[in-house]
Amino acid sequence: MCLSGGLDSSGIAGLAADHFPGATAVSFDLTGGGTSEDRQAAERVAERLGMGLLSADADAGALLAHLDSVLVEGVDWRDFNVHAGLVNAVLGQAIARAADGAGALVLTGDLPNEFLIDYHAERYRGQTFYELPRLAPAALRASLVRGLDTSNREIGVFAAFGLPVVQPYAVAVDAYLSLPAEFLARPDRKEHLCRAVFGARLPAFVLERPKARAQTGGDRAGGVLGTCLDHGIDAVWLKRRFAELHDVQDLRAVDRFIRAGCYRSAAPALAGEPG
Amino acid sequence: MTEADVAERVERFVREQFAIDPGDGRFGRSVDLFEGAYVDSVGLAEMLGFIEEEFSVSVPDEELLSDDFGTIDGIAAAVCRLRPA
Repeated sequence: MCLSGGLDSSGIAGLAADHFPGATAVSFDLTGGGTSEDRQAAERVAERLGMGLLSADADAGALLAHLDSVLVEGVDWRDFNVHAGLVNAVLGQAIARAADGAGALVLTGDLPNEFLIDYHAERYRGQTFYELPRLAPAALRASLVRGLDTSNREIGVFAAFGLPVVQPYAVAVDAYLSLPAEFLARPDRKEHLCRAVFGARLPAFVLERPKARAQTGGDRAGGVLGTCLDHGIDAVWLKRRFAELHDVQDLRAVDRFIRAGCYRSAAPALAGEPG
Repeated sequence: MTEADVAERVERFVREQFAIDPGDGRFGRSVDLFEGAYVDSVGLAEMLGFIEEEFSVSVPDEELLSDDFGTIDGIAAAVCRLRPA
């Protein structure tokens, strides 16, 4: 169970503890800056649920060693998906090593951020990243959900380690998408819903935590986003490397490959000329 | 509403929303907005929101992903096809 100690993954971890005795929590952390708040929260949640916790730690070198694999298997070059894919690659590698050929099923807490528009832009060294479209809540949700078409950052990246993934929130997609726009505008929408869905399975301290994003390190400067940028791996670098790895000669083909979060051809090199 | 009316409103939106330089001679209704780097993926989502609200249409994936939807003229044609008669 991929566990960040946030609302989404902790809720699923609560269900996993009930239904999959012996399930193990797995927590990502970047080494070199002390123990992150996410790791501390994950440890508390795992202990509360009686789950063992596997640490998936990486320093900058180990993290960035996954870049090519994430660009290939994630089939995306955009920073927000690459950074999430890097976290998943570290998690996947730790799980595969721990399973030692015995096989494992990965559960994640992905999807509610799109269903409940629980994203925001991030600032790093004076620049803004992960910008969101300026749209009303219902239109923004539609845009984010459409973008899930290009979410190989999770399924594809874990698959590279031979790991099948289940995203339990997908079971309730229709219920989530039927939530009215007024509900999406509530600042406490996710906490409210998690209380209703998971009840006592969610420890109170998880409900009170401010949202942290693994890609940005939560309380610590940078996280995966900062690590990439500090090593010169910005949006332009990612796009060029993506093109190289996918044998795309013309960068304009990369721009043609994804539109509005949907793939327009089966492979980047097939995006070809318009018309 | 004619196709030209739709194109005019979409062009006005694009010019204002994405701060197109009035002196940009390359920009026009037949230029590819994405390859020309006038509109990025975030901008497309905003443009789509505008189109759907302004013209009361729902743009299906086959229109959205078509080559024609890359230009203002193509968008206007698509909107006119999608609007109820």
